[in-house]
Amino acid sequence: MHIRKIGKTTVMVARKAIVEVDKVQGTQFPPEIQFEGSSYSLHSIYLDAGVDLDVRPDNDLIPDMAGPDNVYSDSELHNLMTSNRNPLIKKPKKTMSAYMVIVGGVYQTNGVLGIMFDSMERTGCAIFYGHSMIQSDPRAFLRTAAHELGHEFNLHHEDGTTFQESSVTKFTIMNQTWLITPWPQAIGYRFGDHEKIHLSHHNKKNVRPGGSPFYDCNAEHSQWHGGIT
Amino acid sequence: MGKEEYLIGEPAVAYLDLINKGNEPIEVIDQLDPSFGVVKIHINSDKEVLFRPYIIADAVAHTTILKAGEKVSGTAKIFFGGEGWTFKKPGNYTVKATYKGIISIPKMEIKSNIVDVHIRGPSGKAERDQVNLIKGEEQGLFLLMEGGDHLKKGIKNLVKLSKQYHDSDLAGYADLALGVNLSRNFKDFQKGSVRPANPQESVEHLQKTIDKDVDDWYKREAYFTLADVYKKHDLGNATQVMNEFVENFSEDQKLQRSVQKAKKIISESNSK
Repeated sequence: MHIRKIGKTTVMVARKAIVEVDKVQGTQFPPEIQFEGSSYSLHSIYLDAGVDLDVRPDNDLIPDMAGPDNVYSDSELHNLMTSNRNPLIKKPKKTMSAYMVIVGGVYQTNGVLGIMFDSMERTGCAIFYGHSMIQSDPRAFLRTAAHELGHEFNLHHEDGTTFQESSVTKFTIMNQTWLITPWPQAIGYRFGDHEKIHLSHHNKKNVRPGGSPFYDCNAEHSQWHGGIT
Repeated sequence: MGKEEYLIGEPAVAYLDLINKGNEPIEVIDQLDPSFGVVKIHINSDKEVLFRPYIIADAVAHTTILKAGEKVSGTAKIFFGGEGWTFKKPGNYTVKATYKGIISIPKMEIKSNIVDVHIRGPSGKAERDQVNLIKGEEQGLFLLMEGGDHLKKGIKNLVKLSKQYHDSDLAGYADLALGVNLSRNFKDFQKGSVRPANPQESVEHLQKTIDKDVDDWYKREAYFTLADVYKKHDLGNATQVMNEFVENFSEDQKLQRSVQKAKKIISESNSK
């Protein structure tokens, strides 16, 4: 644990992590945004939870093969993720290392903003830039990126909580998107107490991608799910 | 479930119905695939475990208003998930689902009935060989995603199953996944190119599935994909395929939504 100063704010950093971010040509990397007078980025959201996240844009030249239908199937996404990950960045035994790819099309099922593949390694996540909400609303893009990455670090929808701010109920990062009403006022660009405890204090084996199966953690974490293990 | 008994390694599908048993209309999320997290599947053998879908999807909600007595249906491929094959050994299992997606009461959880499933072991050398050919990790993933040219080891074993044990029911599942994969283009990022569909080979595989005693959902997949390939590539009579599907499944309560869809396709085709 060490202390890091970000602007005027001092934060406790419990862990370091890396996320390799690739993107298909014609898409963007997850943005930094201004929301209700504050700046947010993937790095700032995770730093607030005690994780110093090194966001490493890597391959931005993946050819766009979406074709006329603009649709990606599960098998194509699996192929994309397993073939583009940079082995120099993937060092699962030494550090918490995650993977994200921004694809140009949409998912095979309507309405999906992002997915994570839950193999034993929690292989990686994909954000669908072809979805109008991701492409036109940077708030949704950043939130979805932080959310999918949370899954790779073994966080689940049940870990999401709410908090009050300016008389509005805000939903933390791991809540499902459909719960966030009114949009965008109810977006909380931060992790809640449960999410923060997991990211910064639970056994690293259960947090890092490749460390343990999805949902495997400790009794405390299981209780947040009503006993689901 | 589609069947009460499955051979180990046989792809099992859970059929889900969400019924409004109240008197008032109610708005519900109709994304019943467990990937969306609204439905969770619990499987019990020695102890209850949560089925972990291989793919976790985050989506904007798609909702439906269910009037009193109405239902929304879905399916869940539960044979393979984040921890590999679900039914790892022969025995008796129970399966139940929970649902949390009522818009006005998002925290309310609804529990399904509990269904018994028997997983039987192989009988004899031939079945043991078939099970060994289907039960690898890559085969499971290929069957789940119904595609993936990069899963070479999985494809090799499924092709072997299809050829060597072409009369077996397990081969019917292999043929379905191989047929669906070949029915469409595949964006292969390892090769940096798009592999075009191979409609002729796809049709050969899909026709084999239709003749097997596979779970009805897989037959449904075979019929609809076959009709689609016929139509796209002008290889056969898609309407005839849909007619055959309706004829065979019009009494099947689990597939009523598909029967309606097939009738609509037939009707549209006849009106042209």
